[in-house]
Amino acid sequence: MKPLFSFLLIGLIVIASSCGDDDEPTPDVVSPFQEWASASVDGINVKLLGQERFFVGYNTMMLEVFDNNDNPITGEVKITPMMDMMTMSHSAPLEYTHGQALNAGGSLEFATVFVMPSGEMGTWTVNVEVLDKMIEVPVEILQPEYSKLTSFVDQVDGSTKYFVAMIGPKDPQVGVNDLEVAVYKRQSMMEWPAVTNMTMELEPWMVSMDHGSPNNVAPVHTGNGHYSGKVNFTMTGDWQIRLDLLQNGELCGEPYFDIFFQ
Amino acid sequence: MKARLLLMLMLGLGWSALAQKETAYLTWLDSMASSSYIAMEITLDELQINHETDDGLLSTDKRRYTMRNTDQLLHHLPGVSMVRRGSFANEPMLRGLTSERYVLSIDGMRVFGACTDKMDPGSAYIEPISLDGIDVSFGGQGNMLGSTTGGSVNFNLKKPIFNAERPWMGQFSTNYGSAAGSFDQAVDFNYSKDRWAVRLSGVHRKAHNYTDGNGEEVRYSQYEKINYAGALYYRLTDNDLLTFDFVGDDAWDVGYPALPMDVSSAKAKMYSVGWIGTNLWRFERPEVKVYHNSIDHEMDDTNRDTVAMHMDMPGTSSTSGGYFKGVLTSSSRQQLSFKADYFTNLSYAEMTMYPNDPSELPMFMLTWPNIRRSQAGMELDYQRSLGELWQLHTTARLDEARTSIDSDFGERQLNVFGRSGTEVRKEQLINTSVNLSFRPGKRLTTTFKVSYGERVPSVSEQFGFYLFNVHDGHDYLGDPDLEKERNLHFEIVESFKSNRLQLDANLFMYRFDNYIMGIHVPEYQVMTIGAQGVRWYTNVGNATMLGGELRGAYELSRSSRLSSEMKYVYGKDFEDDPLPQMPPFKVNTAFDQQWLGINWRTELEWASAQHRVSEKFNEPTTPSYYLVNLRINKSFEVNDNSIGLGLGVDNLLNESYREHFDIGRILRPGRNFYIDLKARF
Repeated sequence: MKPLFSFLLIGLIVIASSCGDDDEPTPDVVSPFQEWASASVDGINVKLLGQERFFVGYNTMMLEVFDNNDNPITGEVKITPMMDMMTMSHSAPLEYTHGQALNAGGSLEFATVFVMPSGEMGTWTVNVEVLDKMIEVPVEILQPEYSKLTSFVDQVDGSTKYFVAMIGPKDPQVGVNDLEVAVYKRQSMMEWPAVTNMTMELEPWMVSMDHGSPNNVAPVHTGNGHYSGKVNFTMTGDWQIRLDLLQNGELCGEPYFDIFFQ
Repeated sequence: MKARLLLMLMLGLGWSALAQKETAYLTWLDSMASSSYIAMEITLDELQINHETDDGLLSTDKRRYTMRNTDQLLHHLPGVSMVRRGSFANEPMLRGLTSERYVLSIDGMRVFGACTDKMDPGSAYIEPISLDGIDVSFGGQGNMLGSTTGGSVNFNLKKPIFNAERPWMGQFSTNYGSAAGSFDQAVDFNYSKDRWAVRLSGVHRKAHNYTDGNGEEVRYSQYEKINYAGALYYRLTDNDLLTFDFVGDDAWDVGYPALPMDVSSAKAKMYSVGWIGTNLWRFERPEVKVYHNSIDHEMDDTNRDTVAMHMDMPGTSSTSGGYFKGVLTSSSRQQLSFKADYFTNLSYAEMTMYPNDPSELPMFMLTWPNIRRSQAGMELDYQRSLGELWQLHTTARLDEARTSIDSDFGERQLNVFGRSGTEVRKEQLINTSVNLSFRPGKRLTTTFKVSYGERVPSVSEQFGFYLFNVHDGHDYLGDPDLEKERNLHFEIVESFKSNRLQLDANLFMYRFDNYIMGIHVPEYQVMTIGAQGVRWYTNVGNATMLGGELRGAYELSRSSRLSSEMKYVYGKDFEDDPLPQMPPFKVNTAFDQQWLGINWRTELEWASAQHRVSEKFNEPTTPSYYLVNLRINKSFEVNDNSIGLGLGVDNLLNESYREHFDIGRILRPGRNFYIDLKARF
């Protein structure tokens, strides 16, 4: 009779378990920023915070300025990222998220698109002008395993160099992902304005199998050179986000990003 | 869920008020005291079209000629065709309708295959040696098994025999076939003592690649399997019975030449416990059963050397359920039966593809994203005589089906198509039928049948994700928002019976509404390398099927008999194009003779060419073919034991052929000599 009872038991468990719901723990909320670089000049202490180590691409950053007594310093501030390559130097795209004033806590959120990694080619600093002082904060910029920044030369005029940074998806997964890219052009060594008049076409590509995915939404301009759309992945693996960038109906370039996830 | 089942049972009790007349009920279980129990019909449905207990001339004697496997057994049933993907686990097709349109059950237990490519219909896990009979119904009549638009197939498991003349009984059979070098063994034991009866059976089969009619070896058509089944029955009192049934099946190294993938392992386990009594409240012959079955299916292409990319596609399916049935009113003039049933199924399948370049990541997707389907139903079955000439049989069934997926990953996949599956979808289903028989004399019976059936989409039709179908070379996507499919079914059956001649003819018409079919979506790109397009399962509107079957048997003399069967199905879809996989006109004729103490049988099979093909589904036309099969069989009695020896050849002329609905244009086996030996002790 044993098998009978164990079977009945199994049956009951199956019925009971099919009614239950699994509780999922909610993660604790912590500040996404942590400090990666700092410098001090004449009693002004500057800290640079980031959500991850600074990398080639679009970095959301936080500037914190304190005096020696740890009191926040407020007021206008000017930030200039600089690449010193010995024989020459250049800046990079910069975006003030909410204006140029340090808040009451002495902090300011901004974003920088570092266009190359630190290394033998040169070194990066983020120069902060506050209270008429210039504080140069050395930063180390890493090349991420999968590039989040790509550049191309305008196919129409053959000279303008554009930089396209992929801001999202940060954590790509199977399904619908928010796609956000930002486009800049190099006007001069010091001028890297956002490009706001591109139209885009989008095609995600599964490289290993040569197919795309359906129902994607091509990014459209939302402000400050940012473009938002939707990208769909139907499986895990090696995907490419392929973009066509057009200006006045003419194809300027075909940048792409590799996305790998399991 | 439990509460709902109870509610249905209580509703059933309400109906019992209709049962006013206590009838003298035959001492039904007493028949179990003899071995005649094994041939007993449990359901009293006279309209079952096929049952081994049918002693009419039309029943081909399947005991005399051992059927080597379940597929072969099904192949010989009227109105049934077998869709081949290889030598193993063919998919039964009822009048041109495949498994999503009919109910498949094993002893009343719902079983759902675990393969997204339909490599394992439930029939793959059952062996003839464990079978007592097969019930088949067509159209909206689900034979008290479930809601359906295409019919039902139920495999009755063999029951242990109580108090037989010998406590130990058994049989052993073995056969060898030349076309695939196949060698099978099967053994069956029965033991009973006092209130206990046990049966145990075991089967082993092994086949190599077979050779087709062109003399070509069909690669990847091998298989090997074991099957073990048992039943333990206990009589609580003389008339009450506790039952436990078990079936296990384990197949490995199974090739599917028509498909790009094989199966390294397919395992099934089925359990049920039940109680059969004489009276319970207002119910006579009450029967309760609780069951669980699970299938693990490993599809892969490890042994294939010409694939674009290796992949694994494992799947699992588990089903739990139960039913209660009983007779509410029974007299010589009428009978009202009731059944309440419930099942819940969980289907899961995934696919991992491995790029040839090892630096690229493997790709993963869920092809069945943990799909939970539960269905509860209630059915009434009423039969009554209307005067001397008319007989009425009517059924009514109400179901509620609930379907959802339980997978974040699967949900995100669906979101890509603007669909969602986590919310439970409820669907109420109605199945009803009326059969009216007119019998003006002893010889002629005319039956008019009308049935209306509804079904929910299959899990693949509702939630399948890029399932590649070799037949039309398309990737298929399920649609969670599919509506139920409906079928209105008309049939006229004319039966003639005399001492020497029996004829059975029917004409039927199926009119589907909301017919579910894959529709090409040009803007979607294929996933599978080499596929030609993507289809989305869609409710397309109407589909119509017309057809007929004619069966006849004539006793030429006491020792010889001629029997024949013809069938044809015509199908058209919502655009008046032919439906795919429609069986063409086919004739089977057999001549049986006893001569020199030996049974001789000659079979002729002819199928017409099929030129009515679905261009939408890239269907090829199929040429006509002609088969000749010969068999001889001789039984010996040795000390109360019997030994049967059979010799035969299938496809004597070595015809190179395939049936129209076969997948992948793979030819069926060529000439096959076989020998079988069967001993009863």
